[in-house]
Amino acid sequence: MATGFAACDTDQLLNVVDPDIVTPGDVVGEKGAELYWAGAIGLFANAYSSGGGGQVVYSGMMSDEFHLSGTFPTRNEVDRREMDDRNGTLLGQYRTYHRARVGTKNAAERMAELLPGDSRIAEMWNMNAFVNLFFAENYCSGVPFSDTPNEGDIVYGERQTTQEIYEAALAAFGAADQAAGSDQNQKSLAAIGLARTRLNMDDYAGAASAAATVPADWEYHVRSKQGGDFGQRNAIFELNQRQRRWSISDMEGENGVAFRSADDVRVPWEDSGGPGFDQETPLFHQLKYTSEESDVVLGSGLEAQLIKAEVELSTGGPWLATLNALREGVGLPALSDPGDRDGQVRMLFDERARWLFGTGHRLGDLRRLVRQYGYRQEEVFPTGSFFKGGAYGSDVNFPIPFEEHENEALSGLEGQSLCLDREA
Amino acid sequence: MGPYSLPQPDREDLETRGVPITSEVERPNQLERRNLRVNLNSQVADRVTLSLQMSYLDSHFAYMGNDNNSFGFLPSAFFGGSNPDRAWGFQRPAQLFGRTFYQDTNRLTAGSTVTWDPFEWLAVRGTGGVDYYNRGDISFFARDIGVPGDSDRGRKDTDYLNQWQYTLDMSGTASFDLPGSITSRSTVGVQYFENQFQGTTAWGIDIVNGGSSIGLAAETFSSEFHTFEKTAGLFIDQQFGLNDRLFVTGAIRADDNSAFGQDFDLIFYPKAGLSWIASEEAFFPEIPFLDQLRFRGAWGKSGLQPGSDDAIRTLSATAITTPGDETSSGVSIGNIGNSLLEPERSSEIELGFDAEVAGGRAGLEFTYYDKRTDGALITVPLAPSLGASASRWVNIGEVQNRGFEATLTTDIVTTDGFGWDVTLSGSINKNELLSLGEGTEPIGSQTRFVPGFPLGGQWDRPIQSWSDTDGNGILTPDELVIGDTIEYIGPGQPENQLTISSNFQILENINVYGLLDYRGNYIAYNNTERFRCRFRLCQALIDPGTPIDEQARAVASLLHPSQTVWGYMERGDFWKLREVSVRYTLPELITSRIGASRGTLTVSGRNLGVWTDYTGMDPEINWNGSGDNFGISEFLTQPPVRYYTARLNLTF
Repeated sequence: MATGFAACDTDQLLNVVDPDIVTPGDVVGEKGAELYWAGAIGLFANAYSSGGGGQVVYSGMMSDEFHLSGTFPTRNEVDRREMDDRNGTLLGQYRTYHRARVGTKNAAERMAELLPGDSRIAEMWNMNAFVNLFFAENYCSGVPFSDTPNEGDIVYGERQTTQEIYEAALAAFGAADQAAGSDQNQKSLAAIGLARTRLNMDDYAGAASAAATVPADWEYHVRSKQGGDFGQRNAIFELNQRQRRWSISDMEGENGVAFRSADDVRVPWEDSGGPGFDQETPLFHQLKYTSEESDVVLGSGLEAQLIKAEVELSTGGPWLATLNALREGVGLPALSDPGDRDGQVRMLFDERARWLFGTGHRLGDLRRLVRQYGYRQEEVFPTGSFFKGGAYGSDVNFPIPFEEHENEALSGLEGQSLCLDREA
Repeated sequence: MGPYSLPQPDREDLETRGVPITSEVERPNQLERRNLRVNLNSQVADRVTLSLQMSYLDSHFAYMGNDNNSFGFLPSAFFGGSNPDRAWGFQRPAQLFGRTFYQDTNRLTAGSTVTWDPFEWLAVRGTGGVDYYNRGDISFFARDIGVPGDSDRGRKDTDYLNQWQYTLDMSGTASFDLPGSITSRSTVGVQYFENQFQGTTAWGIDIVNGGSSIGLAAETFSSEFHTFEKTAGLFIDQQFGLNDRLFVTGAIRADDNSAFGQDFDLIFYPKAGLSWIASEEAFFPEIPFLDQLRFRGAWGKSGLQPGSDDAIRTLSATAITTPGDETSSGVSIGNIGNSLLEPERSSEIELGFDAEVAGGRAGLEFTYYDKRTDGALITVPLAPSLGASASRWVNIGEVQNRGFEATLTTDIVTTDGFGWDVTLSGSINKNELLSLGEGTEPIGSQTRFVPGFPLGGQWDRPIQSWSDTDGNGILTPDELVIGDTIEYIGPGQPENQLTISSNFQILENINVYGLLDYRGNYIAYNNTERFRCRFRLCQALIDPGTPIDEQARAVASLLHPSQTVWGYMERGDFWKLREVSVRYTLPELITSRIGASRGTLTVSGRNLGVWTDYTGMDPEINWNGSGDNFGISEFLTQPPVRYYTARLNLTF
């Protein structure tokens, strides 16, 4: 009996096939490269505007666009600007960003190898660059970029300064521009990304130069789609109208923009007539996104014009005329020059806040007001008493989650905050 | 039935909303169970016996879904505030009771054993069995129940699992008497195990009033998952006995398992043992009260294979919509895998003795063990910046577990009218990570793997001191001194255990039983209180009269830049009175009237008392269930409830 068993082919006897498992060896060739591309599209959509959160949702919550009408304590921390690095919600968000960063890079490299000349390579580098940009705009300095290739060994990354992350974004936008060939759509996406990055880096001339190449009526949409377990649903619509956990703000925390009371056509809203998920916070619906399938604009000619106006303000150019031309396009009356520097800066950023509402720009703008325009954080961020009790904290960015201590390149920092600094 | 019962005002609330008051809504913590067992034995031939066993279990278990769940009872209770409109943290009682949350289980086990003794010296035994397990976890919100979000449109979630486990065990044993009072017993056998696991998960939203099926939902989602595992083993075991008191055993087994993914090699596990009843030797001295003394020693190797797909890198597949509005499958990295993963190998030495004294009225079993494991398999979290899965399996260097186990059984009093026996069973286990392997840095942050310390020990930056320097009774971050680096706090699992059980027999028909349990020398994480403090709902951050040490841990965790949880890592040592029961044997006068040959009535109380310095709800509960092998952490977790049962057993 035992002899017979020993003589049999145990590999054959023990062979199993798990239908749930797909390995990199199963996804090969040009068709395989396209599957990686499609997967990365989904990862980026999650990181930006769909699924359970994303850039537009959490940066909007931390800034003055949205306030919490839900109950998750970890989301409350974000809204209150006092965040624990053990915050599970932020861990999920941080991991989602990195998955998008790694997924887009892997897909770009796989496509470059198997489908050279395909403009979707540019799309991948553009998305990779935008994720880098989100890290720089939203997080404290010090986010490490580790790497998990589709095949091969993982590589742990050292902490990077915010400046280094902006440099990485510039490099990826540059790669996208190179790979775009004659695809004007991807070239414009790379250009607006470059302009936004250079604006963050205080390089106004570089920002103006890049923005000038973007057609005024151009837009790049990140696709939203209903279905699945959150999947690619528009996250703002999902959390605001469907789940009632996010409510549109109005002059939040003393400094916030009057998103509701100004009744501005650029920020359409309605009173839902009832409370949010928490059964106590009045729920106001934003109407910019009217369904789970409303796309979210990632970059546009409109943003290029706003960048142009900001550069003009810094150089003494016709900034107000540029803003008023945009306003005229939607039937809004022209603005008058407030006459002083503070009023001009606030007007420009107020205009940006309305035009770019719900697109993940506002937190970066508030940080720029502190970093580049000399305001104190309590002069621009929501401040004072918090509407759910207690007071707003002083965080101006997201911390690096505690779990990043598992990064072997960061050994010796146990128990320490991983942020190099928490400055704006 | 559990302790929760739908209050009248909340019943009225639900009735107004048209929510059916089902049994689960009425009493959301309940268990209903049916069990059927059949055993058949037959002598099918002169030297062949056949036995068949079958058991069927059917249960319905309704519960409240606490822990990390805003629809749990405890989270709502813990996050309430002083504002009457916010007395409940997440949901009001009507909505908590109105949600139906239950688990249905069916389990069928069937097996057969055949024995065949073709010769006096040869015995062949074969056992085969199947264990089928079906479980459904169901959550249902009736439409318009009054909860926030989508669930108020009617929502049902179902998770159905099917598991089949097949086992086959065949062996043959040859026994001979050899010259010189030597006996020999040789066994050869094979074993096979197969595990198939299949599950489907589905949900539906927007279910019409009166309906409770996903089939009636406007939006649906479904998914499926599987696990397949097979293990085969071969063993040879040889034992020699001398004078029926000295036994020497040597054995070797070989194991192999599923070849899916990375194919790990066949592993061989040798073992050897010695058992000697020394007290029966002629030279053994006469020791008062000692009836028998047996020494035993054993050495053996064992191992654990990684899961069949733990080593390989896998891809996750999702449906996505492209910028061109096309629906497509897409892939991204799923399980990161570990190409260096190897089977875990252990080597263990056991030395001990068994003694019987005082004419069998007391017995002592004592064992010392020392187990060393090379390449222990553990899951460790992964740095999120890798952009991949949240954790993976790794082998870590060398781990040592050593300690003592002892059991003392005593019949203290044995008379016609009264009997009292006590059993003490205890152990002391020291776990230590000896090395992580060359070039490997310590793993983990709060739960860490550091050479020289227990596996998964608890670490954080210490609160070194505090002083209310301004004398206002309120501690602030600048009045705390926090260590600059993390330090070891203690082991994540109890090192010391003691169980004391006792029976009192009163007259012929009353038996009183008690069970007392001790666990000691470990750290339990009071994450419930820490989390409440993060939202300024705990006494330490609200009441200036709170003791200063209680304030210190809250301020360190919430307001100090270190955010250290050191103060919430508490000693978990406890004594628990787990059970007291009284059994009454019914007089024959009563049992005979109903045709029974015997009858007993037992009244029991479980979870009757806890004695501990731990300040959380219970030092033994883990919000992550058994999922976390290295730490005990409560997080809005319900402790075991105290309950009483009465059971009537009749034998016909």
